[in-house]
Amino acid sequence: MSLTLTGIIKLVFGWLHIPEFLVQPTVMIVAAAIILGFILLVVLYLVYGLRKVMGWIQARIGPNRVGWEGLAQTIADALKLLTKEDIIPKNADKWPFIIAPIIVFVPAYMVYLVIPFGKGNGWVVQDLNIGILYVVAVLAIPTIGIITAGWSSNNKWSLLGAFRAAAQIISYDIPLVLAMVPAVMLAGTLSTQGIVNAQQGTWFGIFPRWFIVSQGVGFIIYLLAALAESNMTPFDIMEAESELVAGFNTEYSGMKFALFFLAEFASMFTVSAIAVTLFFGGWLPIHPSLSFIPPVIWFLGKAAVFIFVIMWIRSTLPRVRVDQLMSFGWKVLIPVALLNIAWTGLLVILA
Amino acid sequence: MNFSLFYLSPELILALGGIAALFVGLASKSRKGFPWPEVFCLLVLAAALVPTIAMLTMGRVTSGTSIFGGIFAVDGLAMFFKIVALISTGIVTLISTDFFRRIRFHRGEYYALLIFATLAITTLAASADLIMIYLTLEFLSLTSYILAGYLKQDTKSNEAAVKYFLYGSIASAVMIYGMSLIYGLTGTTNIVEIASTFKVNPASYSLLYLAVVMLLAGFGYKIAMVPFHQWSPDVYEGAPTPVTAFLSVGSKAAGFAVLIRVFATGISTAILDWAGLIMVLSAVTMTVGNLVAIPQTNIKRMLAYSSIGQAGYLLLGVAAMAYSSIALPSVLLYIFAYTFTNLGAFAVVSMISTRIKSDYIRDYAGLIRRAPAAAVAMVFFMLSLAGIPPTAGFLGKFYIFAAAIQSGNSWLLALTIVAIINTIISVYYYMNVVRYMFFVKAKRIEPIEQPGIMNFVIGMTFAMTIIILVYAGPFISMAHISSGMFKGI
Amino acid sequence: MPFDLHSINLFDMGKQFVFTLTLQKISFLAVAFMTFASAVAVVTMKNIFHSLLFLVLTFLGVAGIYLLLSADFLAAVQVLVYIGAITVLIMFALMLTSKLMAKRVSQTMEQWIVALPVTLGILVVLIRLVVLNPWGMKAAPAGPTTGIIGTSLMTKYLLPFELASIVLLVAVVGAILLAKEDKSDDPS
Repeated sequence: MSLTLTGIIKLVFGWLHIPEFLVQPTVMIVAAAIILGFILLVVLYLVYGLRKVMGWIQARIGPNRVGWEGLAQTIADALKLLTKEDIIPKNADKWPFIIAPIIVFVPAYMVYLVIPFGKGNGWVVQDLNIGILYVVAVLAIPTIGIITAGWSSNNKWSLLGAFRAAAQIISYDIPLVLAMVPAVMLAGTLSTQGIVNAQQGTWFGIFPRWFIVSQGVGFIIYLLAALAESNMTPFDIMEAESELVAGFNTEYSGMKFALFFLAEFASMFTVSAIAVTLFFGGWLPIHPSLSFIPPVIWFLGKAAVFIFVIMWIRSTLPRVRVDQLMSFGWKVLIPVALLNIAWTGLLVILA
Repeated sequence: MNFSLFYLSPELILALGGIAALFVGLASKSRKGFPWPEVFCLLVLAAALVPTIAMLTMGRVTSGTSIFGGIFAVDGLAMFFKIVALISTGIVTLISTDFFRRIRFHRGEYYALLIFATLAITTLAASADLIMIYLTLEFLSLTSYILAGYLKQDTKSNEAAVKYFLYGSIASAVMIYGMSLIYGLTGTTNIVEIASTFKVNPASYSLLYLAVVMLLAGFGYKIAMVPFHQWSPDVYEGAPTPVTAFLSVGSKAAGFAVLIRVFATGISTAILDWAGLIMVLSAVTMTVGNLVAIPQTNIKRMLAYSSIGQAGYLLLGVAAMAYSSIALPSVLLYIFAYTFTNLGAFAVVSMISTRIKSDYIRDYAGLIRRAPAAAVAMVFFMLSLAGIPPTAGFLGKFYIFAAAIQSGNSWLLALTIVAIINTIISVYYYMNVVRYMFFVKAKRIEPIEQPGIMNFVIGMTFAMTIIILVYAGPFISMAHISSGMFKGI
Repeated sequence: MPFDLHSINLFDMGKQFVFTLTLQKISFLAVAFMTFASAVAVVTMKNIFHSLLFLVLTFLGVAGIYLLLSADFLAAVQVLVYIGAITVLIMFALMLTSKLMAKRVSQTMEQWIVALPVTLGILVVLIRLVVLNPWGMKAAPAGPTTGIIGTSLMTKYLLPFELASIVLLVAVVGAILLAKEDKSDDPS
């Protein structure tokens, strides 16, 4: 009996004489609940963190009223959001309008299935052998939700936002996947834990054998494409406030808006977590001598660094224009990503 | 590996040539000056023709040779159809240079697409695996859709592309369903392995029959076999004339290549009597094609129905393959003769139509006064299509009928009689064109300009139409060599 | 154990392949029903956008069937390509086609009276034949299929794999040609 979730539940069920075949479903449900709780927690403090970071960068203070140093600010906001009236516009297409936020949120939540928070199988919900492919596939679904939201709102700003979303996500899906390919090639597996394990060890006893060493270009492409995929500044043209009010979610309020909001911040964490997994050794310590710090701390710490970078980018850079975005994706990112794959192929052959 | 790369050399040349042709087109934007895209296209085709002929004649190809684990056959049948495809695309290229002279179009891409279409045919002719067959058929279809809709300003061309696409996608969907059934029955996609699996483990007859019918939907669509022919008149009419010529020869030959390979190699008549099915389809195809051709007033539509009828005769030869060893060479010979004849006819149509701005047969009135050489050549092309000596068409038809009769199968004999009746019917509408050209008085009598290149094309196809009959020896032996290097059932 | 609920874990099937018959059947029936029902909805919905949303569900159902067949790689690719790319492209095409989105059009025309019996007849024949035929079942490969697929694409099926890229090139060239607006000063 190890101290994994399955072990604990087995133990508890053994005491309570609950039949054994219920263990597995219970594990699944509990794991799902834990992940959901984790997402809610992460989102709460990501929002707070974003506002704080943006405040500091823009020489403001940021939220500081509710709770100590404003720490309870997002909780208050969330409560406000949930008690708001849930409006469905009269001319909206009712059912698509209702399911759109769900289509956007569920995949963002499903991705957490394969994120390796720590060492071993206890720290990942399910270490699929198609791990990274699963991430890519699942992350492709929210687009449908965004377009559905934009279309069913029956509002020109929403539709324009949806338009832009469709174009942008199609264009940036390709470099995103192409940038992930080299890490898979180097690791020889699609499994997320496998990719992390492949980055173990050091060069000359000092430098960690992380994939970033040979994949600097790949990482930059990944970061840019991932920013665009999860529509964050400077690629947030699909909900550009100054142009489109709020883009595809203009007509949404209350709980449905909260779901969009949750999905956006959940995927901010996902983007960082995948970047850490693919390029920065996941839960591996930066040097073996530092392995007394638990792997999960390493993982969350590294992810936090990238979240900070994303926030930094978000609060510094202006939004790009639609045509710039398109030509950059097709004419720069994709060719460079292909060259990067060729270069990695060379590395794999020579190694 | 060196050896298999040599086996693959025509395809490699075509693939690289097609990509290079895109750049050549980019570099030669001006309509004036040296016609680089056209010349480059011809060079690529010629370069691919050399190793193909070398493989066929130098005896480096044997029956049953294949590379890539049996999915790409290197045998006489493949080589024969490659040669037909390369020659016919070459002639189509020459026709195109004249046809597009006064039309705005994307020149470089057009010739690149022609090369890619040829690549599709050559790979299709060699495909010995259902996956490969499906992929190459789709490749050919995709290229053909684009080519059929190449005249973007012309609504008929748009209609042709859309119709071709809609029919094509349905046909290939049905075909891949049939392929999936065959895969389910045998657990393999390789045609040779399919045959050997069936020998050991005969499949459910009715299910296999269904699968074969579904396959025929895909192949039949390519060869314009009734009842999968409805697209062909509209597409032939709307597509640019050189593309129509390509569809009626190269594309159709490709369909026959895959039909012959799948049926002769993959499905033995002992397991499923496909010959009977093909015979029925043959009778229906030739009868419908020839009867509906009679009332046509548009020469491209008439030639469309005529080519449906020709597909019927060829199907007769395919059916005879189950019973007679000379059936396959006769089919090949027929296709070879048909290639030059039909391309010649389309060359004349293309040349005349672009100048008189009409596709109607009645506007061909008095052509003998306006363009005597073309009119005389056209007579021979019509005779050849009808199968009347002294033309190549006669030889082809004669051989196919001989094969059918020699087989001694009474059903084939009956079908041959149907075919002969159809031939007589066909004389009527073929000669109708001749009647207009020679005996109907023209409204206008000023001569039609005949550019040198078209004179060359028409002259060459005309010469071949005669030579194939008069000096038949080499062509007959080529058909025999090709079919000898192909292992049937 | 007749009811091994461990098999609920669909993603694991490639690895473990230990589902009992009942549960396998239940999941299959659920997925098949979803696929079928949404496919029917695709062709009966009056609004083309609603049809498209049901098409997404159909694609998901097909991915589910792949999972049940322990083809996890294929399932992920199905989701990625069909939902992530093709559906989005169709949505894009719909949005660019003016006024198509808001229209409510019946998908049937007067010929359905003829088409229905023919289609039903074909369906009955197909189902009968497929059900009656003893299919030689092959056991699914144990373990991940990704490597197997990759190896066969790079060895035996190298030629179709490479040819597919030329097919895509032709498709791209053709799409640009047909969609491009011809300017009056266009060359040649």
